[in-house]
Amino acid sequence: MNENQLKEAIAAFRGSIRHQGDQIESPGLEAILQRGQVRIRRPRSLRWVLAAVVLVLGAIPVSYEHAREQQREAERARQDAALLEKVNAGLSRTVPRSLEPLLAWEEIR
Amino acid sequence: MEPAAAALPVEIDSPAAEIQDFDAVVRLYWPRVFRFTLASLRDRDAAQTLTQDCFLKAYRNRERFRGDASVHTWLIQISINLIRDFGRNRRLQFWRHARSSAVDVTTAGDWIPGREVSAEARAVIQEQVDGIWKATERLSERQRTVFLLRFVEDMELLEIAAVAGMTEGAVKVHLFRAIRSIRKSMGDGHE
Repeated sequence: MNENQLKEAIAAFRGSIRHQGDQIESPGLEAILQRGQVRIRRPRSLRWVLAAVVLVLGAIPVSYEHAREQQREAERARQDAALLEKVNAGLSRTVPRSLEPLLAWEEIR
Repeated sequence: MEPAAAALPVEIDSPAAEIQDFDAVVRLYWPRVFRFTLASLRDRDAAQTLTQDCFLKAYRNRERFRGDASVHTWLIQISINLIRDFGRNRRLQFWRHARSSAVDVTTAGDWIPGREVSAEARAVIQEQVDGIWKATERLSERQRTVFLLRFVEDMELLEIAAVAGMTEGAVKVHLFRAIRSIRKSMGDGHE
């Protein structure tokens, strides 16, 4: 392709692009401004939805962890109570278990 | 026929007149901004959306327009920034690349003004247009911008430098590379 052919091709390209530009009518300022308002409103509502989803998703692991912690604490309290009961039971004996038959013998006498 | 940018009413007295005048700006410059955006993006819907965004942005910032450059230059500068942002977002949204409104290169040649040319001449022009259209697709964003501003918008090198945020030297380099690439893809073996 020589210089003139390239110039011709570029001129044809320019003509076609310009022609295409002229085919599309301007929507007018009113329509552009209205569309601008719609576009401003939409992202704002989307942002709120997104924030709510993030909040909910963030809250789920936190509440799950909280429930697990409560369960663990209840289990610990139950175990502590059982241990305390055992200790109390041991302390309340008057003689060791191995001497209990003798105690019974004393009572008979 | 395009009206000169200098013929634009820049003296604005009241908000009502301001709206009316900007309406005239929209009507006057819509085709230029749209065609530049269309040639840059190759997507009719996106070009229309970005052209609207360009005028919306210009309208919101109209008080900042000092009149140092022409309205056309100012609008093209805004659209260049919007095209760049759009390109960045599109790269991130790679799954949306299959665009239904994308310009088909085989139909780009149909945009030939005037029906008075012969079928043979029309076929030649169509081939030329398709060739340049395909070739510009392979250019880098900056090369394409510079090429379109120079050869479609008829802007001076210094004006291109101002709107594209480059030095005049950089514009020359991008233009040289763009033409070399186009010539190469149009079938010229020598660079």
